Amino acid sequence: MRYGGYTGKFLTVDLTTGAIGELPLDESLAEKYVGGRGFIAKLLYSRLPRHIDPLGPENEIIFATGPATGTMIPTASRIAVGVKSPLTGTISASYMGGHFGPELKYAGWDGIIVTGVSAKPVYLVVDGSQAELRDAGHLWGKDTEDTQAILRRELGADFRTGAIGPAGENQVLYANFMHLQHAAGRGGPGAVFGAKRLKAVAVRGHGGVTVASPAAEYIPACKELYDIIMENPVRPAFRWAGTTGMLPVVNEAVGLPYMNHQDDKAPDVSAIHNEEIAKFVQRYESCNGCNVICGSVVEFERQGRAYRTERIEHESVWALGPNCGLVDLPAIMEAGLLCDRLGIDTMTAGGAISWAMEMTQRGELTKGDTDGLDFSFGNADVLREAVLKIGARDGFGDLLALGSRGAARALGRGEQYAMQVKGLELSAYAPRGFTGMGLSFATTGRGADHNKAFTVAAEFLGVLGDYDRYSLEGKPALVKRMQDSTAIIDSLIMCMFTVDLGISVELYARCASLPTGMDITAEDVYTIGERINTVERLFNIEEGFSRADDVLPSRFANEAAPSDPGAHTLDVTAVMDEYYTERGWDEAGVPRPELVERLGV
Amino acid sequence: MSYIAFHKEHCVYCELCSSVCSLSKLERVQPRGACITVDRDPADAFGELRCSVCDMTHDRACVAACPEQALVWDEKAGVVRFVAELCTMCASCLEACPNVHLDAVTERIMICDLCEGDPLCVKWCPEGALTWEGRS
Repeated sequence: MRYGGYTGKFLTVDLTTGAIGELPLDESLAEKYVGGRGFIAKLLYSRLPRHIDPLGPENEIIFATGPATGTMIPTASRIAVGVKSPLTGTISASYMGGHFGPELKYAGWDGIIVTGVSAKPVYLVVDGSQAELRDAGHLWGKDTEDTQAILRRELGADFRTGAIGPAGENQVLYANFMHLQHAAGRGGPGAVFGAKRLKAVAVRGHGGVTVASPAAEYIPACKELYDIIMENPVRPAFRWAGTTGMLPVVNEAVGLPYMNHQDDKAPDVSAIHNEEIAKFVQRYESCNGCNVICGSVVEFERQGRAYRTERIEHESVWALGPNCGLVDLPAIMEAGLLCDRLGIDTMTAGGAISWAMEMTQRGELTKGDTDGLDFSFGNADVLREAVLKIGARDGFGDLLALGSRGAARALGRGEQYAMQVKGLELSAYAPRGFTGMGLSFATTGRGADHNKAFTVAAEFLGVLGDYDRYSLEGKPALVKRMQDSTAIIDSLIMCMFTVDLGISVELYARCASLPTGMDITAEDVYTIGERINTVERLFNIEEGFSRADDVLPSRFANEAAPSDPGAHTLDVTAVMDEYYTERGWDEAGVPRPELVERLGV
Repeated sequence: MSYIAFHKEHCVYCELCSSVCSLSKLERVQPRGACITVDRDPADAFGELRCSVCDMTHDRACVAACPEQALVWDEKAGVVRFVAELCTMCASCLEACPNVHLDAVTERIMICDLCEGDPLCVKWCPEGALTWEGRS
């Protein structure tokens, strides 16, 4: 590998035979797809047979770092975990920060490709160039926190660990993979680990990673990037409040979904205001290579139970809070913590519970259907019980373990109240209030995901432009450009928050060029992003997805939010042709041959 | 005598100190092979953070332990110097002091040299958890 930032090889692990090997990283793969999400897109598209069962032996788990991971590029601590999603059936990559990704790099690996299925529970130990599968019989059934504590005790505290919890073992379709309190969660990779009987991964590396230029040039170049973040006026808000600082602001602007998106504003969010959350903070903690420092350790109690964990984030506090019609902070934090320990994506958990609540509100579900639990909006006490039941797939929890759309289909009713796209639940930004987010939810490959084109920055925060948040005018081009530029962030892999902290597309190009020594321009960023989005689209198209799947729940076109004085509705199908044209896709949403050829897919 | 001081209440475990140290000394980012390392109380996932770097102040056990004069006290600079050519990898220094580190790739013994009077780790710490004390 002639480029810096890469180790030049993937570790391969065949769970069926137990064979461990390596796959050299092709230079053209690095040039065309960068890393992280790009690698996962290309590898899954090329390697997976079509129409496989995501929980069957043919699915693969791909851990992928990027060339910036662990190289002192700001916030590049992240690692992507890719699978064909059991929740959506789409291609899917989820990301987690912390220290796991850099450690894998220092161990000498750009990523890990896991294939097959093990006959018994195992965990993977990667100690530098040596890797082996070990019996995980004693870990099976343990939660993510206990599992990782046992691994640190057994292997040594200098191993970085990640694990699934009981939810992954039980193949809850939105189970996650947890490294400490960092989750690769959306799309349910943990269920694939569970199906493969891979309980955990532990990594230690003493090798390190080299970059393209001498330290004497590289260090000052990185320092400039850190200084841009440090001096950005938004940075102190992240440093102090984490992501939850956005919540009251978005609510005030009638942009925070409430009660399963029936309204776009909660009556009063003062109880979950970031100032309230800050009261539980003991100290601050960051990911590797980050000076944003949005994390912190909190201690709290609920009903006599004492907890210590990391501070809850914006999406989790919303999904389990206002989305369920409640603002009981300890109950929300407890449910979030239980999701982490059991290994469940908080956002889809909140979406499944809020679906059950709306079904209850409309008389479509009664206590007879829900094991006697009261799924009324606002009932904070049901959160803990619901999460425990989902993790165990016990009774009504077995239905909710399918996600909102899966639950509705299994029940035979209520799909119109499943607030999802392609099976993935919507995030904490109201589509009717931020139409770019609506279009992004409808068109993003892995389903309704706020992090693949965070147009709120351009529609509300004034960071990337000044668009009318209610109008769809100009949004197809905006969404397309942001989806493309975001693909680079997910491939380097840097943190999404840098978008809000002064890192422009030109600077992402620099972040790609510095460690690798490639000469990547802003124009290249868009082209590479376009290539990644197109490959993800081709994967989905060949899996049978079509224009009919690029739709929002019907609620947004038919009902305005009661709190919105402008009574806005949103029908993104009105601009779908324009969006497809921007993308070079035909009217059916299929990438045109000339686009595929131009991008060299 | 000047040295790097660690203030654990301010440390956020970003590993920038050990990353920049290793890159500067080894031309590789490798936090474990740096002159300064940060880790956590192993018994507790949220446990206390600990820093390991030469404090320059005590008995220079590493120098005393070295049978080959591969570690020498530079009185003028106030730091211990490593002479790679004389090192036999006996690991006596590593046993003598927990603040002596090893880069596993080059087999270099890594001891803080205060970056010749401008410690990078202090400059890079985003939270003021590292300070340069006692300099004249």
